Parts: sequence; structure tokens; C-alpha cells
Amino acid sequence: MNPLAQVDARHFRLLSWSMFTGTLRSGPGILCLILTLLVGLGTAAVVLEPMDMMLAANERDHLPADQAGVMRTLVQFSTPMVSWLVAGHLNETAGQKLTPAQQSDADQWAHYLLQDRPAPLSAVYMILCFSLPFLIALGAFDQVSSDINARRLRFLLPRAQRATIFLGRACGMMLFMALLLAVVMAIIATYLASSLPLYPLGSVIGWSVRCYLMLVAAAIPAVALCSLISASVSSAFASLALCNTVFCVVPLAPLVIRLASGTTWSSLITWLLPLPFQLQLFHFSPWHVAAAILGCLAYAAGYLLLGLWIFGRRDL
Amino acid sequence: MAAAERPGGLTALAVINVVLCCIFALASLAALVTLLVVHAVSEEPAAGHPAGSVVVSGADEAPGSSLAAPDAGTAPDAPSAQTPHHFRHHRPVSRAELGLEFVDSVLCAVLLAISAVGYLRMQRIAGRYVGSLYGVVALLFFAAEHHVSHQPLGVTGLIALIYPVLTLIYVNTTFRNDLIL
Repeated sequence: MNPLAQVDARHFRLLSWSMFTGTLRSGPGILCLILTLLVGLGTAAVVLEPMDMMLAANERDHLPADQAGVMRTLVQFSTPMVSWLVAGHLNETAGQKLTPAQQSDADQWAHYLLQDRPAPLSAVYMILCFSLPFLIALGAFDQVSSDINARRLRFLLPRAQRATIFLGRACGMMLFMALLLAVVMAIIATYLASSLPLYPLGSVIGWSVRCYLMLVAAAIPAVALCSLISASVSSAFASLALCNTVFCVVPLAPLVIRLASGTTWSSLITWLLPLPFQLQLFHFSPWHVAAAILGCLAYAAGYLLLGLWIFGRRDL
Repeated sequence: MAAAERPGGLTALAVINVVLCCIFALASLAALVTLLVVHAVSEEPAAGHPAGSVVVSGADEAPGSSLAAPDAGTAPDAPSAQTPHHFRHHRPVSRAELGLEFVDSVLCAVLLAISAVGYLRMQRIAGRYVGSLYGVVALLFFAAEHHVSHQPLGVTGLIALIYPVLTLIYVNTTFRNDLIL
């Protein structure tokens, strides 16, 4: 029987809302909230610090506080670095040396992120995108683990199907992360728009909204993977450890294996997570972005179906 | 049974309060030592720096900021004209700033400690009211310190506002009905 057909819409809404409010009141939820705010604003501080320092140096030397000039200098300085970063991603994905077309693609990508769009926002959101799985793991590691361990779910089972419980809780956690990301990105965008009036307000808002949707797309598979791990392990602590281990080991393992043995097949390990899609979310081509969003959603569906299959067979 | 009914979030807030309380206690100690040092050397001001001030590292000097104590009697712009280039990132901090920092740290440490106990015991006065008082006091001191130092509000300043604002929101909305004993 199709497990998704068992999902009751009313129970699903109730369980999602209950998970959302429960996470807001829980210790891991509060820690996740505070740490996400700290990481988001800390990243913004690190990215904006060189600009503030250069402006302060100009003031001390009685030079005009030319924000646009300082930003131009910083962008010129960082464009080759970003180009190298995305070129490395293309190289790793292809497993071979970059072709001239790929190099041109990388240069265009860096130009798009730093010059066509507000550069500080691009930098902050990209760093946030890559640190997101660790922050999500802090809040989403215990969706069902401790309830399985304490045998509390048996009180819910006479009223709701297993699929409704599992998917409802995953959806509630996704809502929590979506709201949290909205708050963090709104603070960053508001600060940037008020303190650095270099970019048109429409451009800042538009790019922030688009990046918000991309970060939510990146967050959904991470929450789904936490749901899968939480359904597989009966201990909340083991679930947290496993979530963070997976998010840490999978990106690093190919690099370590390649350095140790020189093999290129190790890059296939990165496909265990939607890592190859994460950077593509910031691609200049809308088709790449659409494909990356679909890829993230496909990963999330895969994780959720596997988690549902495991949760459906567990002794609760 | 109160401990069993306590939401995990309140326990987390109490733990964070204790950690922050320790940090504020150390900060107040540091501010007190610095104040004493400033008081000891205030009779013989260093060359290029106003009396009653201490030099701290910082690259975000605001234009025309009054860096010395109001009673120092030295022009604020005088130091940067005489200071060697590699010392230009340092800015003197006035006694008023140090005093404010000291009072702020002590007050916040005390309020955080009391509210931590209030959260754990789920008390209305020690938990909700003192927690709210901490949030308000922290915000007021933040504004006062920025007013005295004439520093622009940066992202780092926003980070310092996270916990007081979250405390105000949490104890007055999410945990309002839990802090009733």
C-alpha cells in the first residue's frame, strides 16, 4: 500500500504546527536559532569588515569616504578568488582539467555574483548556504529519536498514521528553518541596505528574496536527511552525532581519498548529499538554478521516502 | 515534578544565562582593573593622549569622535596628528566608557544569574520580570555606550543585541505561561 496515501491532511497540519511550536520551545531549537543568527550576522561582519577598515583608513588619512571606490577595489580583488572557487567546483564535478569553455563559464559566474549582484550579499549568502547543514543538524536531529526511545509515539499511533507523524514533523521542521532563514536574511539585507547605499534597494531586496528561496531549497534536503537519521536511530545524541558526522565527512572524504590514493572516483561520494547542486543554486543561468532546485527537492524526496520506509517498520 | 514539566527551552536559556553571566563577571573585572590603571596613570598623561584615557585596539574610529573624557581638556583630533602611522588604529577610551562598561557588566551578570535561577524554578518574578529587566537594561546600556563612544552601529553591534532581544521575546511570549510560579 502506498504510504503517502495514508497521510491525513488535518493530522498532518496539526503535527506540523505542533513540531514548529515545539521546536521554538525546545532547547535544540533555541540553540539552533541563536547559532544561526550568530553565524549569519558573524559572516556578514567578516565580509563587511574589510570595507569598514578601508573606509576608516580613508577617514584617518583625510581621504574622501568613497564607498563605491572601496567596493570596486574589493570586488576586483575577490573576483579571481571566486572564479577559482567555482572553477574548482567545475573541475571536481567533471573530474578532469578545465576546458576553456568551463574557465569562461567560471569567470562569467564570478562576474555575475560580484558585479551584477550585490557582492557582499552574494558572499554572505554563499557562506551561509555551506554552513547551513551543520546549523540544521543542531535543530532537526531529534524529530522522532527520543520519542522512539521513550516509547511515547505509541500514544499517537491509534490516532495518526506513521506516515502522517513522520512527514508532519519533517514539514514542521522545514517551516521552522524557513522562518529562521527569513529572519536572518531580512536583518542582513536591511543592515546592508541602510549602511551601504551602494546598491539600489530593489536589487538588494530582489537578490535577497531569490537567495532566500535558494537557501530554503538547500535546507530542505538537509532537514529530510536529519529526519531519515532520526528515524533510524533511537538515541537523540547518536542522531546528532550521526547528522554532524555525515555533513562533515561526506564533503571532506573525497578530498582525503584523492590526496591519499590519487583516485578520481572519490568525487562520487559527494553525490550522497546534494553538494554538487548547492553551488549551482547561485549560477547565473536560470536553467542551472532550476535544475539545482529540482535536484535538491529530488534528494529531499529520496531521503524522506527512505526515512518513511524505515519509520514504517520500526518497533515504536 | 516542576523539573519534569519545564520546557527544554527554559533550561537552555538558563544554561546560556549562566555562561553569559560568567563572561560578564570577567568583563566587569577587566573593566575594573582598567579603571584602576587609568586612575593610577591619570596624573601623568602619555604623550599624544589625553589624560584620563586608555588606548585600546580598534580600527573603526568614527570621524570627530570625542575619545577623551569630557574633563580631559585635550582636543580629540590631536593624537592622530602626532601618532606614528602604525599606531593609528588605536583609539583612546574614556573613563566614562570604562565606567559604563563596568556598571553594565556587573548589572547584567547579576540579572542573568537571578533570571537563570528563575527560569529553572519557573518563577514569574525571578524568571519573567528579571529576565525582561535584563533585556531592557542590556538594550539601554548598549544605546548609552554607543552614545558615549560615538561609534556607528555595525554588524558586531547587532550580534550583541541578539540575546537581549531574544530573551525579551521568549519570556514574554513563548514561555509567558510557563513562568508563573
